[in-house]
Formats: sequence, C-alpha cells, structure tokens
Amino acid sequence: MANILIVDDSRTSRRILRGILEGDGHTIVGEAKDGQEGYDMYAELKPDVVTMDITMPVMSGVDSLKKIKGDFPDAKVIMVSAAGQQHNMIEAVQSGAMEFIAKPFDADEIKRVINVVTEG
Amino acid sequence: MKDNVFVRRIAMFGVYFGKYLQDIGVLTAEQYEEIIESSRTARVKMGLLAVNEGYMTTAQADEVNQIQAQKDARFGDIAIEKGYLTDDQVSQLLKKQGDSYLLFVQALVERKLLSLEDIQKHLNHYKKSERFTSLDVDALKSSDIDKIIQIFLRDSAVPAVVRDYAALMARNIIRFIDNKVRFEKIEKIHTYTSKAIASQCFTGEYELFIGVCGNGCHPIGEAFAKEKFEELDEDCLDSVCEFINVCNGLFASKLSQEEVQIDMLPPSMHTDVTTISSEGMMFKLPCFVKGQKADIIICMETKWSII
Repeated sequence: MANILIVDDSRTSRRILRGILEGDGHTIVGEAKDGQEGYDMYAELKPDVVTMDITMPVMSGVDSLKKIKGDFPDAKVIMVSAAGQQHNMIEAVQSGAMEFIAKPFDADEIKRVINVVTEG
Repeated sequence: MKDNVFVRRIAMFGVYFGKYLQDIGVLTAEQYEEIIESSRTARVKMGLLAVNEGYMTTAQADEVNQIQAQKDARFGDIAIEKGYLTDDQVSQLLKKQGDSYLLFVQALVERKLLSLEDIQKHLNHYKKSERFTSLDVDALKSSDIDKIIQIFLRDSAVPAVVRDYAALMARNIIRFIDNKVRFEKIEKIHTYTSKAIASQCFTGEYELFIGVCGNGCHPIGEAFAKEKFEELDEDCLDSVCEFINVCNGLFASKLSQEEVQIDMLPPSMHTDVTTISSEGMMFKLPCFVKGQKADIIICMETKWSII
C-alpha cells in the first residue's frame, strides 16, 4: 500500500479521492491546495505517489509537476483532470507524468491506476 | 469520458405538467411528489394504453379487466380473443408500457384525482398558458432531455455555443444531481446579483463565463459531493465548482473534436452579495433542483465584471 499526497484546489475532489484511496488501503500523507503547496509538501513528505490536479490557482499542476520532477526525478506523479484537456495532458506526459485520472472519479479506475504506478 | 444519453426512464413529463397542476391547485405538493416517485418505477397498464391509443373504448377495457380478474390470462391475450385488439397492436402497446407521460396519467387516474378527459382539458390549458407548440408537448411527453431542453432555449438571441453548453449542463444535472430537475425559459440579461455563485471561465477560441447561482447551489453541492452541508457555505460551493468543472471538461472535449481549443481557468466562488455584469451576451437559464431555484448564468465573448 502507498503513501499518497493529494494536490487539488477542490476540497470536494480531495475528500472523494481520499475516500477511494483510503478505502483501498492506502495512506494519505498530505493534501495541498495548489501546485506550489504541492511542491513544498512533496519536498517535506516524500510520498510514494502524488495525485496532481491540472487546473489550480497560484501554480498549475503541470508547472508543479515540472518543478517536482526537476528536483526529484524519481517522483511518481499521476495527473488528474476534467475531460477536454488533451494539450495539457501531452505537456504533462512530456514532463514526466506517469498516468492520468479523469473527473468525475471512477473508483475502480483510480485503484487500477494507483496499482499500475506503485507496482511499475 | 463521453457526455452520454441516458437509457433509464425519466419522469420529465410529470415534472412539468405535475408542477402546473400543483400551481393551479389540482394537486397538493405531497400528491405531486408521491406521483412523481411512483411513476418512475411503474409500468402503464395495457387497458389504459389501449384506450389512450384509441384501439379500445373504456367499456371494452373494463370488460377485459373484469375477465382478467377471474382467470390467469394476460390483458393482451383476452383482448385479442374478444376481437378488440390485433397482435400488432398488442406488440405496439407493450413497447409503450414504460412511457413516462402515460405513467403519470395512470397515476392520476388510479388515485381518482383526475379523469382522462380532465387530464386532456388541463393539458390543453397548460399548453396555452406556456405558449407551447404541439411539438413542445410531444417533447415533454418523450422524456428526451435533448428535446425538452430545446423548448427552454428557444430564443433567436441565444448563440449556438450557448445553446449547446446549456443542453450539456442540463444532461449532467440529470445525470449527477437530480433527474427531476425542471427548467424555465432562457432569457438575455445584463446583470445578475446573488450571494451564492460558483463559476468557471473558459479562454481560447471561445471566451465563456459559466456560473451556477442561488439557493439551488445547496442541493447541487450536496448531490455532487454526496455529502450533507448544514448551509450553503464555501465547502458546498466548492462542490458546485467541481460539478461545473466536470461539465466544462466534457464541453471542452466536445469542442476539441470539432478542433476548437479552449482552456479552463481555476473555478471561483462567492459567498457575499456579488453582481455579475456584462455589456454583451449574458444569459440566465433558471432551473429548479430538488425544489430550490438555481440560475445558470452564461456570458459570452464580451467583457464581464464581477463585483
């Protein structure tokens, strides 16, 4: 089971994701509300996996991904997004994102993606 | 993820016509709620279907019902044996058993609230009072949300992209929030003031502001988060913002298939009295979610301000 950092500006999304992940036996080590806070918490907590929303204030998910991967190349980051953000996804892949989760959340798909990333 | 059409039956006709009957005092609020709930899972009786289609008279249907009460046989089989229906007619009627209009009518008749003749009379009045065309009434009877929502978007001032967005949000309100949602006609406005606003903007080839406003945000937030909120606070509006984000993502996905590129900005919310103003295209689509009013505000292509 993995230690996971959730980065999303939406409290609703953080709560739903936490419920799914904790229900599958993972530990949520922290929650961040924007990309800058996500980077700061990653540096402090060194989680196994990060779930990173794309559209956030202060610092976007893609910019936060780049910053985390720049300092921590082995970081495992899963991008989270509503549909229709293909261009952001492409940039995320090029910047080192490992996988994607779409909103609205599908619990089975989230569990599958986490397993792929943690076992990969 | 695709913006899917729903297969399950939605009691749309009852939501609109039933509300009208409640407004004119024919139904109480409790009767309305009970009938809407019951018509979601019931099946229309063959006798009522046959009379409604004009295949049988009420007297013939009553006769077959009485025979059916005494022997273990299906209505259709008895009616065919008596020469009242053909095999083809029975097949057609069987397909209509899930018809939401007829389920609602059946519920009214079974509870002796209205006769078929009275229902037709009230339906004619309803059509006139709302200035519905016959096609509009057929759309309401169809329970097809794509047809129904167009009734409320019919205004030549509304651009196609706004109409498309409104229809997408309507489908997703039914999918995620309340399949008994009721819409009213879209109108062009210049300002809107509320103390509960959840919103998100698009940039790119279309500049759009999408807001969901008013007390209806409370049931929307609760339904989407699957969580109770004591009041319409920031946590509740956050959930509404997430719902808007999902709708906007689906809309962006649809546009990307047409090679139109738009970006979504982070959602925002307002819990103090706030006014949205626009010099250009600004539209309000009212809807009633679990009995509470929410206004969907869409601004397009011109500068809008929020104070």
